[in-house]
Parts: sequence; C-alpha cells; structure tokens
Amino acid sequence: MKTGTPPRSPLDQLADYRGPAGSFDEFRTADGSIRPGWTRFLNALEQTREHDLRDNAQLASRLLRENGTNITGSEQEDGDYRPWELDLLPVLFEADEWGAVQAGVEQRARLVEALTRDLYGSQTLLKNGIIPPDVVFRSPHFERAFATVPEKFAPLMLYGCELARDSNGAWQVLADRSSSPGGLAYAVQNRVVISNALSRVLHRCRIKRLAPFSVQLQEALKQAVGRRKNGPSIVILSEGPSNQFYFEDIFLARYLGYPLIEAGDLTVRRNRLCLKTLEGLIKVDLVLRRTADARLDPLEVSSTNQQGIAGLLQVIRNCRTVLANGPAFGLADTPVFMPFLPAACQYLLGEELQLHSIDSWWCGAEEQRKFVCSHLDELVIKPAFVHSGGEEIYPAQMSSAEKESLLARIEADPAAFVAQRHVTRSTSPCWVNNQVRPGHIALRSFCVRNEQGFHAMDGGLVRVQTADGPMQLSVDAGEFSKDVWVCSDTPVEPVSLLPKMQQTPSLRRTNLELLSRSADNLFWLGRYLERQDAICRQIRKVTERLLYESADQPVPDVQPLLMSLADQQVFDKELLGVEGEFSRGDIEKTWPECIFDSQGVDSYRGLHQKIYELAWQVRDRMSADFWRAINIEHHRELFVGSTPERGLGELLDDVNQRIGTCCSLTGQVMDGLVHGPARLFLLVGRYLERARQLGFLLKHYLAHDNEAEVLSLVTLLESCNSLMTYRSRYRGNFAPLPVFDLLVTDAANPRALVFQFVQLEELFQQLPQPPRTAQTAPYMHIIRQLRHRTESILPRADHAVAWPSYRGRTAKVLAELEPAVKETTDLLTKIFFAHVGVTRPIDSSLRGRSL
Amino acid sequence: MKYRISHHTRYAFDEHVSFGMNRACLLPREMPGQTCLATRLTTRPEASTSGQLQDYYGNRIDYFSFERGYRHLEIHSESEILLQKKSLPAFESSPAWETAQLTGHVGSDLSTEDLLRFEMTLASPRVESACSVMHDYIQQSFSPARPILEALHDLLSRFDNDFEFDPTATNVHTPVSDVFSQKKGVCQDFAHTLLALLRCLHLPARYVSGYIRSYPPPGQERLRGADASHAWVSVHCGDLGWIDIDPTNNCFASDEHITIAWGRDYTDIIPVQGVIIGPSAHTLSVSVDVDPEE
Repeated sequence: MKTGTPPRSPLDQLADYRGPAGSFDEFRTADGSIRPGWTRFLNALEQTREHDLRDNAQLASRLLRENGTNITGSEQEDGDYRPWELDLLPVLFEADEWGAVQAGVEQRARLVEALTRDLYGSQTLLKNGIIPPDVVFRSPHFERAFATVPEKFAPLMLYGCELARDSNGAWQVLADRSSSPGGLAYAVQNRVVISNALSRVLHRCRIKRLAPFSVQLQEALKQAVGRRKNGPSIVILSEGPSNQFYFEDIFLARYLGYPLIEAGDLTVRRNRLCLKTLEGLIKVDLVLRRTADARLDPLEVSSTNQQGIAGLLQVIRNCRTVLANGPAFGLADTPVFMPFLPAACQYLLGEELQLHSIDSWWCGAEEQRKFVCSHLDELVIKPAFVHSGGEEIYPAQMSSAEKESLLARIEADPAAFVAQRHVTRSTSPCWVNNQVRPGHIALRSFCVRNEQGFHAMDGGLVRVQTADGPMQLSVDAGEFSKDVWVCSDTPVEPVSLLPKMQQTPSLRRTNLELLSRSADNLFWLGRYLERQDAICRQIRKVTERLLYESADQPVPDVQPLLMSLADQQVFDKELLGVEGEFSRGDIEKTWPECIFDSQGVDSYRGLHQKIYELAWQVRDRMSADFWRAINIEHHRELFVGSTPERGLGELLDDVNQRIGTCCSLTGQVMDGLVHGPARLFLLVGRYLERARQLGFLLKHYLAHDNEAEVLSLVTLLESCNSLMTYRSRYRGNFAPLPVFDLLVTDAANPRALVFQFVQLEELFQQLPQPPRTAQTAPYMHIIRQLRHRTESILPRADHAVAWPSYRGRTAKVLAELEPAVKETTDLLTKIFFAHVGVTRPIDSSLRGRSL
Repeated sequence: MKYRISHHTRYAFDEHVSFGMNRACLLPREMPGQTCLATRLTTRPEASTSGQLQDYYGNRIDYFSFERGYRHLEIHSESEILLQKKSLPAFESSPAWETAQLTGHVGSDLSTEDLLRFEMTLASPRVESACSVMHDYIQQSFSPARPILEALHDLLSRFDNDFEFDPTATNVHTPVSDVFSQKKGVCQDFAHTLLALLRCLHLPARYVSGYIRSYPPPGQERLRGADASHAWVSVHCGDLGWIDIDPTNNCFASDEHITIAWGRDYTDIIPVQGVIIGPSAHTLSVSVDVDPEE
C-alpha cells in the first residue's frame, strides 16, 4: 500500500459497509440495521481468532488449488485455465427466511417433474390450452423417443435452479436446471474449504450442514434401485476430461463413493447395461448421469453425433436400469416455459406458484410479442429453445438500426424468442483485495428427490459479480463464488456420509473391478512418469555441463545426450538453431529457450501436460497426496519459463524441481496403490519405458565417436543414475565394457536393461490370463526373447569378453528394442484396454429409388 | 387389394463384426384402410436379444442385438397387407384449402389427433421452414378458396413437370432448399420438399415410408427383388381427413401404396439404424418384392 496506512481490519470495514442504492442488500436492512444472521457472524468473527481474514483467505485459495478445483477440467487449450475463486465472506440466511426459499424450490421441482411427465405423456397441458403446443413441438429438446421410457426408471432425482433477489427483496428464478444440474460439487467444495478456513466462526454461528443433503442423495439412489442381493451397482456417467465441469464429476464420484465412468466404459449385453472391466462385464443398476441428452443413445436420439451407449434406452424401457435424471428432463430448462408456469402450477398441482420466474414474455404469443416490441429497452432478448445461458441480446445497448434489424428478426420467427426483464440482483459484502466491497449475487439451489418427495439443500452456491449488470447463468460465470450459510435455531447435529456399520463384509484380497479404460490410463501414466524422469535427467546433465564448464571448453560428452533427446523430439531443432552435429558455441545461448519453448508431446512442457491429463483420468484411483503434488506442480508449470531471465541457471533450477516432483509422484503412486491390477499396469508401463529410454541413450552412445572417452562414460552413467554403483565397484577406472555391463547385462542393477525385462516377465505372470490363450501370452513371448538375447550378449561362464563383440551384440539388441516396445504396447492395448472395442455406426438403409 | 411384401436388407462386412445392435422400422403399421394380415421380421444370424415397441407416432419399431457376431447380416421383413381402395370426392367439390389450415393458437379442449395435426404443420429436423421462393411456388396452386384436392392435384402435376428424378443429384443429407433450387432428387427429397411447401401454408403434412406396387414393362414378367422402398406425403384435408399424395409418381394414393410408418420426416422413421464393433468398411444392399394377390 502506497498510502502508508495499514489496511483496516475486515471487522472495521464491515461496520462501515453499505450496499449500493437501488438494490436489496443482504447485510443491512433498508433502515440501515445489520440483519440478525450477520450480527451473529460479526460476533463470532470478533470472538474467534479468525477475524483477520487475510491469512484465512490464503489458506482457502491454497486448499482450492491443491484440490485442483477449476473450471476447464484438464485445461486442454492454453490459457483456458480458470481456477475456482472463493470469497471467505459467506451469504447468510435466517432459518425462517430460508425456509420460504426452500419450500419454493421444492415446489418448483415438483412442478418441473409434473410438467415434464405431462408433456411426454398425456399432454393435458397442451390439450387444455395451458401451454401452447408450439412451445413443446418446436423445441429441439422434445425428443419423441423419450416418451416411451417408463417414469419409474427415469426419475428426476436432482433438480437445481438459479435464483436472484430483485430490488424489493423478492426471490425470482432465472433458470431451471433439471437435466443434470451443475454446481453441486462446487457448493460442497466451498463448504469444505470454509470449514477449514473459518472453522470456529462456522461453529459458533450454528450453521446447518450440507452433509444431510448428500446422505439423502445416496439414500435416494439406493431407493431408486430397489433391493439388490449384493448391494446396488451405481455409477456416475461423465462426459470426461473434455467437459469444462469435469472437476464436479470427479468430486461427486469421490464424495458419494461411486465409480466415475464414461460412455465408452458401458455396453449393453443381453438386455442389461454393463461396465467393461478387466475381469469382464459387470451389470449396472443405476446411472447418475452428468451428460447431455444428445449423448445418451446413438440408436435413438436423432441429433447425436454417435456418442453415448447404444441400446441404453431399451434397457431402461425393459426396466433393467435406472437413469437419473431421466432423459426427458431438460425440456423444461428452456426459458420459453417461464411465462406459462404459474398457470401450469395451478393446473397440475392445484397450488399457487411460490417462486416466480423472472418476468418473461414469449414472442410466439401475439399479446406478449406486442408488449416485447414496445418495451424493447427494458428487456433482454433470448432464444426461446436454448437452455438458459445461451445468447442474450440487450436492446438498450443497441443503435436504432440494430434495433430495427432485431425487430425484423423477431417478426420473421416470433416463436423463436423470449424476452425477460433485467433484475438488479441483491448485494452482499465481499472481501476482495483486503477490502470489503458490495457484490451482486446469484444463488444456485439444489433439490434431491427420494420416496417422500423433494428436499432442498440447506445451502447452495453463490456466484458474485461486483458490477451490476448482466451475469451469465452458467456455473462458471461471475468473478468469484461464496458459500451459503443457513442459520439454525437449534444445535447442529453432526452427520457423516460414511455408511453405518452393517454386517461385516466377507474379507477380500483384491480390489473391485478395474475399468479397462483405467488400466489403459494407468499403463500410460507409468510410462510417462518414467519418460519424464529420464528426459529431465538428460536435460539436467546437458544444462549442468554447459553451466559449469568454462565457455571455451568443448563438451563433446553431451553429444549423445543431445542426439538421444533430439531423436525423441524432446526439443525443436530449429529452436536450437543448429543442423547436424551440435557444437558448444551453437547451443550455449539457445538451449534454455529451446527447452522451455519447444512444443510437442515429448517436449519438456508437453510431458508435464500429458502426465497432468493422465492424472485427471485416473484421479479417482489416486491418493489425495498424489493429487496435491501434481496440482502444485501444475500451478508452478503455468509460470515456467515466463520469467524475463531464462538462462542456464533458471533452467537447471526448474529441471531440479521437476525431477523432485516426479520422484515424489512416483513414490506416491507406488506407496498409495495396493497390489492389484491397477498397480500392475502402472509398473508394466514404467519398466517398459525405462527399457526404452535406456535403449535411446545407449544407442546414441554407441553411435558416437567418443565412446571410449572417460568423460562421456561418466556422463552416461550419471544420466542413467548408476555412477555411484559403478564407482563402488570399479573406483575411478572407467572403461566401456564394465560401464555397458552395468547398464545392460548386470541383472543386479535395477537400472540395467536386462533387469527391466526380468521385472516385466514377473509382472506379466500376474496379469489376468487373456481369454482363449492356453500357451504363452504374446507380449510375454516378446519380452522373454529380448531377455534371452540380452543375457547372451555376455557368455555365461566367460566374463572376459572382448569389447568389440560385446558392442556388436548390444547394438543388435538395441536396434530391436523400440519396435518390441511398440508391439508389446499394441498387444496390451488390444488384449486388455480395448477389451470389447469401440462401436461405430453402420449405414442406414439405402434411399428409395422408385419411379 | 392384398399384397405380399418381402423386404431384404443385407450388410456385408470385410471382417468379422464382434457385436451389432439395430433399430428397425420395417413392418407396416395398422391404420384405417390398411390391415396387416401377417407380419414377420427375421434375421440371419438369429438375434441374441430382440424387442418391439410402438413409437411416439404409433409406428412399430424392432430392436435386435447380435452378441455372437457375424460377417453378414440379413434382416428380412415379410408382410401380408390388405388395402381398401380409397375413393376421393370430385376434386372441384372438395372443401376450400383454407379449411384445412391450422394457424396460430389451436385453442383448448384439443384431442391427441388435433395436437398431432398441429405438430405436422411445424418445421422438423429435415424439413426446415420454407423460404419465400417456395412460398410463391405453392401459392400458384393454392389460390384463395380453391378446392383442396384440386389445388393438390395441380401442385402434383407442376411438381412432376419441374422436378427430375436423379439419384446422383442428392445424398441423405441434402437439405430441402438445395433440392428445391436444383429441382432434382429421389423420392425422399421430393417428399421432404413437398412437406416444406405444404407446411408453409400451415397445412398438416406428414412423411410416409412404405412400398408401391410396380408394373413390369408390357409383355414382361415382373422382376424379383426389383421393387424398392418408397416415400411420399400425407396431407390433412380438413373434413376429408388424411390424403396420401405421391410427388414422385404424380398421383394420389389409392390401393397401391402400402404404408410402413409415418412421422415428421425421414429421421423419425429411418428403416434400419445400427452400431457395430468391427470394421468400418461394409456394403449394404436392399431388395424388395411387392406381390399383388388378386
């Protein structure tokens, strides 16, 4: 702070806080007094030592970062990364005030359920003129195939809606979310973080817990399945890491305790929905879906691009699997229904609608269109049949010519548009950059349905925008989020998501089934962790040599390292600015930049990216520690090489940190994964890659003229992590034969080539036997042959072999290595990972040709 | 009139298919004037699982899965259909076409049939809203208060003059606007185009898939398997009910059009859809026999 005065404490600032004129304030009433819930909060804040929010805010953002809480999942595109932001100041509601919201949300869920059922069933709403038929028949979300799906097996289990409070303090619904409501995981995650950062305040304020909601959800899912002998098999269906809210899917899967799967993991066999695992196909009783309607069943949903699970709807029709939420839900999420909900509520439920939608007009109705056209400036225009959150047009910000063309657009197809009034959302104090400021809030509320009916969560997700004005309806819109605190009049009972102790289950020594896709990802994670380790060590060696040798000193010993790295496309030769042989002077300046800036899968940064993506894929199998380590590294990676100084020293420092993380990740994986197929595939990947990396390095050493030079041998040993072992055996006596023996044929050295083959053979023994093979598995055959060839480089009884013949035989083995690794990988993929293969569409029938 | 229909669909793959699943809309539905005396759907190899249902529009849909795999798949649909000859009133005495129009709000106290008719006046996945040129085109036949059958008759004969049957001109994805501007296509294209034209006047019109009786050249035997599946349009003519018109053959359907199914357009009633696990390359062949039994 330049002013020199220390920033005032949050408590002092809150005492002075006033909301802006023209909006309802959650903190102070219109006459300026502080609302009761906030008084409780301020007292609690004062009494605890948490009144300095600064430290707590740092803790909170660190926790969010370490949990990988973000929006874009695996961050496929550069710069698309958006960490989740949480403001420590919650939004507080009194119990009775909240009760009204809750009842309204629950009624709204009942209404959406009844309305959707009616429209896919007897359509009395249309027949009696409550809702105009175009509203339904024109909707691209009205999928006729869903009309034949039985209700009981396609329930509305989770409902959400987006709420805002207008300037009079009345709640209004901005959007319904009944397909697969987003934001739930962010709400729970916010509470988890707040419980850490403001634990005493939370406790003193007597705030209702979120856990009962999750317990209700678990119970509801179990109820929906009905009794099953071995317990229900429930899965969470995700669109995968490409979905921007993948974080939510992972979080929910972990929090609720169900496996997270993708459409490719499921298949329909014998009229049952099955999960593809290494052990075979396992029946699924309930799918909690996080996917769009268009990604459900390529055989039935006309608009799909062949994604989904062929036959899924038939399985539901045959009452063999429950899909929650059912495919029909999502129809009512478009804004076109809003003007008709009060009448529909009266008609279907016989009740007054408690929570009204934001004022909405459908241009397809003559009267409503007239109103819209004459009040354009007060309204927001939206496409009628797009789920809320799509295009929004603000006529008030348009020129008169633009308005004319908008009116023409509406006239051309009035039914395609709705108009809504802008709501000035209520404000609540926010703690931003050490200052308390008002922010406009939107609240997402959630409901779960069990046999007794709908139950709204005692909390929710608040998104904040500091300026008044439009805010998108998506979970990722707004500047940051807040936790929602609902005050309790009575002491708060602890609730746990852990199941109650039941009968002791029979003991097991193996884990439950491993998904074929997970096995695939673990295999590649093993390979990439090893690859990163090896490549980083080589980069480090080159960098050290360049850094520590005086500038006029040539460094011929790094030549094979450079060749090996170039061969693997770790760096872009053009960035290095050298063709053919590398000389000291050439690379001196360009080396750090070349490493930092090279693109490609196997580049320095590409490797990290790949590992990060793979880690996301297998996140549900990894320990929290592993996850924390990789997120910290990922956060660091965002700034790698972006400092103005990018010299050899900076590079060395960076590589050292990365190698450290890599070791720690490998350690976490090895410690965390119990013995079983998951660990097996990871290790297979690791040893296969280590053999491959050795192959590259040794091949280029043998191709190099300076093979016998002591310095080269030392560099080689160091790059292979075997210098200490060599020294303890041979002291300072460096010669090619013992060096190569240690790295190729010495079965006692865990870094030797032959050692990798021995390990692989042992692992292969433990793999599930591939079907229809009685004799040696083909991958085993390949590795066994390689081991025999490697062992025979050194005649068994005769250790006194001449270097030239050793060298020749080694070169032959090395030449075979890369193709063998590739073939082994292909075989494993075919036998274990692809398992039942990928479905593809066939031609539809020929077109008619009658005349 | 009685017909015996046999419809073979054959898929041949280059390599083994380990798994397959299909959804078929191949068996004629019951409807006023059309009785199904017998229907049978068989496959080779035999299906591992199968199921049937009536879709949203009441069409019969069949499901199969093949879990033991195959190299070739045959789907054979056979049916015996009794068609009543439809007689139409004199064209000039049919009601004015405007009486069949459904515009704006259709009111309250509606029946399922009312809703269905209304639905068939709206755009659908393959029948987008017509452009002004198309509007002009149909208005030439639909002058104010013209008797509807006369207007349809006139439209059909103009259509027949202006459009040329040409299987090379379009593919399954060609949009209606292209078909209309190039005036070439096959029966599906013509049916979709006619639907767009009729719907822009708010006339309820639906897409029909089925078969048509064919006649061999004079003096020749009918060739086995030479028939084909066909598509045309059914338009709701007010008090006259649904009347089927065939733009490809410039005629009103009488007792030579056998209906399999109807929907908003082709996408609602695709004859065979499927997914497989196996090679991508395959060939598809279809043969149809429509045998009239006097």
